[in-house]
Amino acid sequence: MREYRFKDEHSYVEKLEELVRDGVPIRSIEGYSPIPVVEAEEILREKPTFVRWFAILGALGGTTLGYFLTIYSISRYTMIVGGKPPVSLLPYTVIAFELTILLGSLATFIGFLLNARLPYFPRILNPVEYGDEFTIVVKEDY
Amino acid sequence: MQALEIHHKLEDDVLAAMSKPTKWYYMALAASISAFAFGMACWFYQIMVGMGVAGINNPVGWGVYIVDFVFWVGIAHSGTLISAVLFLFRVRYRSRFNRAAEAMTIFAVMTAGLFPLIHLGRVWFAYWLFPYPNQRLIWPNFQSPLVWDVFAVSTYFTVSAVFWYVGLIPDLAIARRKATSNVRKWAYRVFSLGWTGSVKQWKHYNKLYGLLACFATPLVVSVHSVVSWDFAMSVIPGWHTTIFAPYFVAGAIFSGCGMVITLMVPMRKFFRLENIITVKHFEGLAQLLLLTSLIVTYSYAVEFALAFYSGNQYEIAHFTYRLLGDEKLGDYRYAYYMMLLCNSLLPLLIFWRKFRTSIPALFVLSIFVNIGMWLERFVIIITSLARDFDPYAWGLYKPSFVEIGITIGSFGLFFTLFLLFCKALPVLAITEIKEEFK
Repeated sequence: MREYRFKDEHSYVEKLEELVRDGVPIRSIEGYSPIPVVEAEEILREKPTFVRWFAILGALGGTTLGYFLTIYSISRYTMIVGGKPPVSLLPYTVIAFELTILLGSLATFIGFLLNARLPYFPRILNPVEYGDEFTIVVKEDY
Repeated sequence: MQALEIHHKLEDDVLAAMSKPTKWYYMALAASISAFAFGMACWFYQIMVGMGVAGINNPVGWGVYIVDFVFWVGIAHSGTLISAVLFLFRVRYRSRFNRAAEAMTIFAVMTAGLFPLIHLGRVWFAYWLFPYPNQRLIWPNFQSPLVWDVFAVSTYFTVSAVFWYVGLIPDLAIARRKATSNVRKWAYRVFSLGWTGSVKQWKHYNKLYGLLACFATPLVVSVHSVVSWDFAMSVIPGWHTTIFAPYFVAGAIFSGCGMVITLMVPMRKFFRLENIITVKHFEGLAQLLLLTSLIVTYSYAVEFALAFYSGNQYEIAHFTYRLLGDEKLGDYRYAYYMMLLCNSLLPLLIFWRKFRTSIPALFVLSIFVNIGMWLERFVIIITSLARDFDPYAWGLYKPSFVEIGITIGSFGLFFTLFLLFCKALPVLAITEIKEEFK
């Protein structure tokens, strides 16, 4: 395993480009940085993230649950309040909206944890610290 | 100075705030805990003796407890606004305030959440508010704004907490590296989830943060709109108006910005963060305070215009009473005048550059804004209930000793939680500030 450490983002990105140019397989290169580096994602051709799908599915699930909960509950025991129709979609939209946001956010967070493979127990027990340095680790088995 | 040196200094300066507390910190914590304990004692007294010890009675059935609830939910607002909305607009001064503002949001919602329970009287039946079928298979009335409120506030709390925690993950990894005690080291290890800062993790993280900001932005608007509908959905004069939702949202952001300044000025001073949070950053926040003050002032004017333009005699009578009072029955007009002074007139000083670049001046102004926004909720809620349609039912309400004690206790709880946060977690978003010094 080879390790390269840099004090700035620019040298880190240059080295990544050089490694890829020299034919080191992308799957053997891992970059670590104290701040996000968009160029590194492009060089290492990271696959598109699926987090947004969790967001969409969570949000749609929340909307459905909101309308289902309100309509189902009033149909189980029809109680007319204030002379309004039992199934009043406008007020129920408030509940559906809140559940859209709630489940959308929670699903996005779960999606992040699954995609980023967190919590990662080996690293919790034995964290590898690169400090403020930009680090490239190249596995030797390529 | 090289970027790396700046990063090191930034980490050291921010994490120094988490070091051994000074005697001032202990004194502030003792004062806050005492205030909270006093509030809890008052609540216990109310539970033991009954709701009669509170000043609420006919015709004013919603008193200081509901005023406090709306006040604290309002305070909670600027946290998510600063985190989410200013993030989407890429506002630069955001990174200096977002962590503390998000913490403030969570603690303010927790404080706010106590008031419906206190107001209930029989707090042990609070679970009746939640959506479950009771023994007679009757569900809560989902057409009621009070049930919407349960959903809105609990969603707001959950989403704000997730947003706050997500922002903390990379900073907890820094704290884990710098922690000296074993307990802290293990706590930060567990809560940073094994974060390494790999390219893959950052990619998913950035997507998550952007999506959460997108979810949180409409939530900011919706929560205080729903709170305003607790009032506007009724037919009480002074409440039944369409301006309430935007008026409440602007007011909430205004009061939240005021509280952020109130908290950040001493925090910056005591934790020696002057080099990181500069006058320029406070100036940006002051301008947001001014903008929301102008919107709130406009809403005050529109309320009167709507009442008088409608020709509705009850609305006209109510707003006349709010402004001029009633010499025979007593009134709340001085609260209204004080509210105008604090929320509409004093913030105009921000137009003056010398004022908005003076941190002590902004701190004093923020205290007035906090007082003014509490009074605004008091004026809206109490004056409308004290004088509705039937003159036979008119009456005056004065907060009782117990209500004042519980209000003081709520401030104690809020400041206790905030002080504990300052020593347990990084008070500034280190990673986000680092990004500015690449």
